[in-house]
Amino acid sequence: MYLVVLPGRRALGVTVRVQLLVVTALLAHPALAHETLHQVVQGKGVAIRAFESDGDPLAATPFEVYSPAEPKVAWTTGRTDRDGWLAFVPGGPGRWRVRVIEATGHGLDVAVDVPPSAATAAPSVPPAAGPVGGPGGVAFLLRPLLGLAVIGLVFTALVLAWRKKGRAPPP
Amino acid sequence: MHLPDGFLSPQLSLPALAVAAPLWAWGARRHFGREAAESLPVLGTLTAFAFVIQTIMIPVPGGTSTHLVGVTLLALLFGPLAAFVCEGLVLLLQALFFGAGGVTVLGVNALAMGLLGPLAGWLAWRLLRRLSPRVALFAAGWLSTQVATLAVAGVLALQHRLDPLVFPVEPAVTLAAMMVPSLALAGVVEGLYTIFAYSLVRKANLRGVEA
Repeated sequence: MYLVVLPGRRALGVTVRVQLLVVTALLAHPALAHETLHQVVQGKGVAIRAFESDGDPLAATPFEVYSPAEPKVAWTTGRTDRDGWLAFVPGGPGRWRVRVIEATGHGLDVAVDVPPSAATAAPSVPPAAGPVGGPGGVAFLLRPLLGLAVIGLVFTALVLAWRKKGRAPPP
Repeated sequence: MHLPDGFLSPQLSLPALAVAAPLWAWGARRHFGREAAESLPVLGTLTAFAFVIQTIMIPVPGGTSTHLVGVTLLALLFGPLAAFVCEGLVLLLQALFFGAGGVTVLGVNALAMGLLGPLAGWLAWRLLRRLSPRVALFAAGWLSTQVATLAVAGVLALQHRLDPLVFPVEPAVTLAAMMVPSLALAGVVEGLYTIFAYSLVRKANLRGVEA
């Protein structure tokens, strides 16, 4: 930015006006600027992936994020991407709430604990796995078997218990 | 159709649990007691089968998915109350191991998918089976899905009325998003599954299944 100072009395008035204009423009710069800046900070955000029980992502699904300070007003809203991912940058430590809401009533409502270190600087904590791990993980694939095992166990226990006690007396 | 935790307020989830709990107790006493010991292996196998088919997602155009329920078959073979207890167990395991459906909303999910749906299917089957057994079985599966879906959509609409912050989606949107796939796809597949599985169980002439 250049300032041109013009000679002469009349010109001086013009100069002052030009200077004032420039100063005003400089003060108003952030509001008037068309330039959009950015800052890349890695490891500060929270990323969550929402997926169905068979591993299919909840793509383009609306989500809401609630801060611990204002649990009734959404901190941010948006839609998951095509792989079911959503991300946000927590503004402070505490228990943040993330809700992914499909119109069909599917979705999730999870709490994310943000430690104080993560709220102010890049966190050094390892990425937390969800309660069921990722869709490709062994734990994920073993869950149906675990469910079947529990059902088998419940019914086998009942059959064995009633056999041990003998047949029911005739009514 | 499985509502997760946090989508319903305690105003709705607690009364549902209060209604479901005594029905579970009654059903367990009636269908899982010593008198029913002979039918337990078949009941257990079909419960395990319902657990498996509920995890298989059928993609629906528009980005969502639906699934079979499979407990109407249990209602037709053992009665609606047996289906309700078995579906309660399936839903609990799905909530614990899959995160599919919530624990706090277990009562709502179980009443919709385990009782209202199978009860409607059972009634349709009883009414129509003399006219045509196959039509009656299809109607049972189809109607069971519609009633269960409508019940879940109704609860979500009621939640929206009570507090839109808890469930923000408009009732009309929820109803359309749930009922269209249910009417067009899930109900038809459930109807066909009911015909196939019921015929198979009957042909196998399994011990513990009443003729």
